[in-house]
Amino acid sequence: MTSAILTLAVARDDAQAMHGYDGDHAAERRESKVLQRQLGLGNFLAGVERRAYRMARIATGNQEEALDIVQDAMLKLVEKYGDKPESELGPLFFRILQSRIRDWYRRSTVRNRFRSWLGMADEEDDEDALQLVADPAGKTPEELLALQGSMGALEDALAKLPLRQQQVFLLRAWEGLDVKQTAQVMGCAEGSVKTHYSRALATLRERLGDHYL
Amino acid sequence: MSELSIPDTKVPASSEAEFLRRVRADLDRSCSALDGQTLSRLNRIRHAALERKAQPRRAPVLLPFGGLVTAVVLVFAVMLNEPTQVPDALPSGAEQLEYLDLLSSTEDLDFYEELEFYQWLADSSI
Repeated sequence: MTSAILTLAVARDDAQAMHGYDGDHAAERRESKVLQRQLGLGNFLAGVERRAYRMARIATGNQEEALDIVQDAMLKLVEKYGDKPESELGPLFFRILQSRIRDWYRRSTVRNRFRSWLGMADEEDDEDALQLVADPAGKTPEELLALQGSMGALEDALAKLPLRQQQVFLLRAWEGLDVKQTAQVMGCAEGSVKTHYSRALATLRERLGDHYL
Repeated sequence: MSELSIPDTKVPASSEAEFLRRVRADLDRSCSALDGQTLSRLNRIRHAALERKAQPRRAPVLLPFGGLVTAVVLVFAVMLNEPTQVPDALPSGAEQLEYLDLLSSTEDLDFYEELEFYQWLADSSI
């Protein structure tokens, strides 16, 4: 965070130098506003990055793909909507994230189809086992076991849902977006959101019964 | 990791709200349990995005000039690609012989380009 603040401060100084900063209050206020907005953007990204990664990870089942998707979404948000107020960033960010996830899904579907036509095995997709090992620092074996038990079952159940149901459920249940916002983010009708959500919820309750009862 | 607690799996999830609360809690816990390597990469990704924002944007300043250059190039492309006029008739026999002379001559091409000048020079010397 410190380096981000330093970067922003340097950017402010550069901007001041470019505009011939002479202590004028209006210019000072303007620069302060820009700096605040950039700090707000940094805070927003820091607050959302883990959830965004988890959403992409559940959708792709792959760490590298998930990180690439988050990176693309952050860059696009900053480039296109970096000047928007912080309150508007959430839906915009998740809309970009969902778009990237859908792009990935289309690409991987085509790739898998080609591979199946060519009869190629997908051993190249195998992940490095070390990448999947969580950092055990700070957790007791009992905590890890409990966490892996319920979280593992939840992640497995979520991963098996159709992509639209999965992402609608995460946006509604976890991000707390309402039906309208979710429809905007997913680029579909509100009725579709309701259908996807209720189906996802019913499936999850059925599949997770043993772990959540 | 004080926020990490063992989920109470013994309490029945009788209602939808309770089920959702547990799902949210598990998802939040999965975020807290991300490994150091992933967190470090997310951190780097965020900083890279913010640094891009901090860099002064020059594209909007250059955009009008880019548009102008594109327009000029397009105009020239259209002008140069205009179909050349096909001669109404083929050159006569005399003209064909002239062209043949030109093609078979060992004179430098500059000579033919300045031909009118040499003709004027020859006329004026007479």
